[in-house]
Amino acid sequence: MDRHNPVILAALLHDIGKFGERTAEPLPVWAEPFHHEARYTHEPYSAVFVEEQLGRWPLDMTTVRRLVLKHHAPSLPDELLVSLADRLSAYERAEAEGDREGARGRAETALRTVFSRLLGVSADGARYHELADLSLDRRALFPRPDAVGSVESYRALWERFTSEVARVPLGDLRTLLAVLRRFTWVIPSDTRRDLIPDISLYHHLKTTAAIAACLVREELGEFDVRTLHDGLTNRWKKAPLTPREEELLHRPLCALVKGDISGTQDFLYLLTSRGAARGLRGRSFYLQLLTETIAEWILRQFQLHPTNVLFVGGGHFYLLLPYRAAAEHLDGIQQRIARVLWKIHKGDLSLLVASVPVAAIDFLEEEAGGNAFAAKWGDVSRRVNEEKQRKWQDLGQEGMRRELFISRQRGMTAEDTCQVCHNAGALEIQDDVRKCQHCRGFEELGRLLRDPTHLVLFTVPEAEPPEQADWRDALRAFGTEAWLIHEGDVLPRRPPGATEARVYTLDATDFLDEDTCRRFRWGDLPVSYDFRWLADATPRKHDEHGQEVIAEFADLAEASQGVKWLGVLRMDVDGLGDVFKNGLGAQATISRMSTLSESLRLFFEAWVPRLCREYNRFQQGKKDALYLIYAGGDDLFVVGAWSVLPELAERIRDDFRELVGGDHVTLSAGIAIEHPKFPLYQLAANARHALDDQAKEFQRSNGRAKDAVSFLQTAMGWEEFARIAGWKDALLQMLNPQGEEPALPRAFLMRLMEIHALYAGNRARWRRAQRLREITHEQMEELIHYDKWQWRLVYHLSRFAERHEQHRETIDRLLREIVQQDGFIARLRVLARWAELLTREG
Amino acid sequence: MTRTNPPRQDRSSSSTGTPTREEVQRAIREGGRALVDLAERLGPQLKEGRLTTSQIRNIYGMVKQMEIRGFDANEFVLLKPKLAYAAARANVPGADTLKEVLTCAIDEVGTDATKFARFVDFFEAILAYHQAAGGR
Repeated sequence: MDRHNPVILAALLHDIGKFGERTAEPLPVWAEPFHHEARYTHEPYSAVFVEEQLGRWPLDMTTVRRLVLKHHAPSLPDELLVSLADRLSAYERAEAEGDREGARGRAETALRTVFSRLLGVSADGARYHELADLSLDRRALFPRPDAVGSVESYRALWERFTSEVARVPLGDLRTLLAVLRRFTWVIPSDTRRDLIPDISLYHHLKTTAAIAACLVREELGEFDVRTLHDGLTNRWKKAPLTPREEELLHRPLCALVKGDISGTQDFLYLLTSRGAARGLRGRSFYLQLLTETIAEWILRQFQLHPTNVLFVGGGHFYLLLPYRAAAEHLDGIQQRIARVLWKIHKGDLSLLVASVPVAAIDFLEEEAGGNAFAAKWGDVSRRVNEEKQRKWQDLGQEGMRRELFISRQRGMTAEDTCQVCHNAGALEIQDDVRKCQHCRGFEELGRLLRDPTHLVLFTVPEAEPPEQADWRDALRAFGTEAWLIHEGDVLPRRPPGATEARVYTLDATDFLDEDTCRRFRWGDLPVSYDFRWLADATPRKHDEHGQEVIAEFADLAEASQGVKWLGVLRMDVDGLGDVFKNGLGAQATISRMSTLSESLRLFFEAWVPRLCREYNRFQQGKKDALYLIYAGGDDLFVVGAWSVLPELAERIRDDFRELVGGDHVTLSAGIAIEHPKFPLYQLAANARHALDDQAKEFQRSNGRAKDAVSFLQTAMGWEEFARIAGWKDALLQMLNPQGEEPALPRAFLMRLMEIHALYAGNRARWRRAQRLREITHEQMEELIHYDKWQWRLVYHLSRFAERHEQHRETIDRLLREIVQQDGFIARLRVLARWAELLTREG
Repeated sequence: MTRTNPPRQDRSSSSTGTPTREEVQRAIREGGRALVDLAERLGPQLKEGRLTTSQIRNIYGMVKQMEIRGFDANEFVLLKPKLAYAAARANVPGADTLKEVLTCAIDEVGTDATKFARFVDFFEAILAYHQAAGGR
């Protein structure tokens, strides 16, 4: 069986007829007889699509057509395989119940965002996606409560979809998958009235193909396929199962494999300030490319399509592999990865791989008598964490002894090490700084990441990395050669031994236009086309020669309002493991998991960079303020002008809230700010502390935790942060009034800080007393609130109001808001300090 | 140290008349909310009673000096005749109110240094709320 098996393509297209059917166009006359062979109305449409759109593909398309037509009424073994994969991806209740109307297409049903299912969101709070192709348009990306589909919108989308499919290189499943992703990502897979339409057709098709590929490779006998199929039906009907059915339901069919890059924190941030900014973006992009390259390389070892990548991003990947083949080859694969990465990075980076077996029963919703897939997702993550305790064991006994336990002399003096990363290597002086081949390479990669239009990845023979390897050698070791292409660049030559090329259009979804298809060709080399997000917001400046270069951290600090400091913002989704494991609960099928992870990825990789770029105004003759080092998976890391970061954090949070449609999945942030000479690794660590130890530990008086931001060493809920931000603006207005109005002196801020210090001292005293059980919690609350700070605040603020009559109203309002029972006295230092830093010179 | 919990009451529902002896005693005994609420009530009353900031400050200055020197109950009790004299000289209703409240507070302090500290706070709070009420 090879990767061009018709079963896999049929699995990928089995439900495409649902899309065609909702255009309400009648079937062509020649296809009328298909109705007699199919069970529902969408299968003939799928068959027509295969016939009309892919008829010229160099595959056994007659078989593909038969398979899509019969996937609800299978009789032959290959038909049963497609049907099995379909059921395991998202079990359709209808066929088990004999519902003739099942899975009928209704054009008006819009895709309900998968976030609306999480953790018991009521139907009223649900949000729906507008029927549109994937793009960075806000209307397309963010679900709304009132979005509905229509026959007209389906027709318009179908027309564009089919015209793109016509451009797909014949037989190229990767490009077809990209077209499907663009056009079917918000088409609901199932629109029956009594079902929640929250599975995207794209994710259902992709995961069905992934499972089918595993089933094909498992080479189940005809009898077993039939028995398993019957077992699934009986399990749903809660009918008794035969021992063989039971056995097959629990027999591992697939392996869920997780790979996780380890060492990224130090790799990215443990750098000196000498040229670190220029290499940082390159380093971050390399980590992303390396993860993806290794994921692709593993798939090639199993002759699988990209359908079997369930998720890649955030320094890790999840793959679905055929069980037996994985059990046989995964050890060897892990050893090669460990050996290559050790040789190139000498222990700075590693990739941990773990796998868990997945049986048919593990794919099914609990309602369908299964285990729900999310448990497996959690299991494999736990296994990877266990692997971290046994890092480098994949080097083998001899390898570990040689590399880890024999002392070796590396750079002893400053002259022997790189001035950026402190490692030894092939050192060269560049711009008066001694740099190793890695750092030079990452700087070059950083430069290449300025406005590229395409990324080209050639599949090449795996090459053993040389002793002084750089990032290109690392990718080549896993059979990939990467090129970033800019407007007007000459295309790279076809590398010797290349077997295929993948051309990614960057940050746009219109990836299959004539120009791209004509331009990116290398003779008879098979080329696939796809699109991806670059997650880029890189600051620029002109150097002394007028050349455009990546701005240094000091330049970002200069773009700050007020004091010229630098900041780091880190954000991530709260309790993501729980969101996956418990959020989808009993309904956690592989399709839903895939939909959920892709939605998060889209937000972080595509939307966040777009927000960041709004703060970079170099093109308009102003200073760039932000450097997006990383955004993907479920987190982000931004370095920038400190004054911009709180606003950016709030905008990201507001948009995330809009995306998920409420507060059931939340985001927290940590912001650290310092003088630009402060080491980046320390600033990064401070931001991590702010996020992990402050924002994530934040708890409201009603017990609700997280969903918070830590800024100026103070954690607060976003709702409180918005209030403080509003008062910060009001203070700035008084400190720097428009027009002739006299300004409030900055001594006002000092006074607020003194009063907060008084409050904080009193609070510490009574908290201690409460800990010693000298007073009750209620007494403590009261004694903290009713104390000296209160009348001192009243006294000083009324004095300021008296002397600055024009600001009296605002000052009185501020006083009331601070003093009231749920006032923000506890955050007064943040407010005063924030305004103080914004109004401080230099 | 174990403190008794003051009964919760809404600030807006507290009395607006001249403070009772019990209210003053509680403010000195318990501090916290009882103290703040009472001072907040007194501030505008004193202002309405035409008591000026400098008149309050004269007495407050003496109290602060006692605090700096360290609490001496014998010296502290002598504040009572000084209050009486100052009130007679000022000859405004506010001065009488302040004299009555502080005299009652002095009695409550007695020889207790902790209560003296609360007395100083109480007085400072009165000054603050008087100022906030527009006292000059």
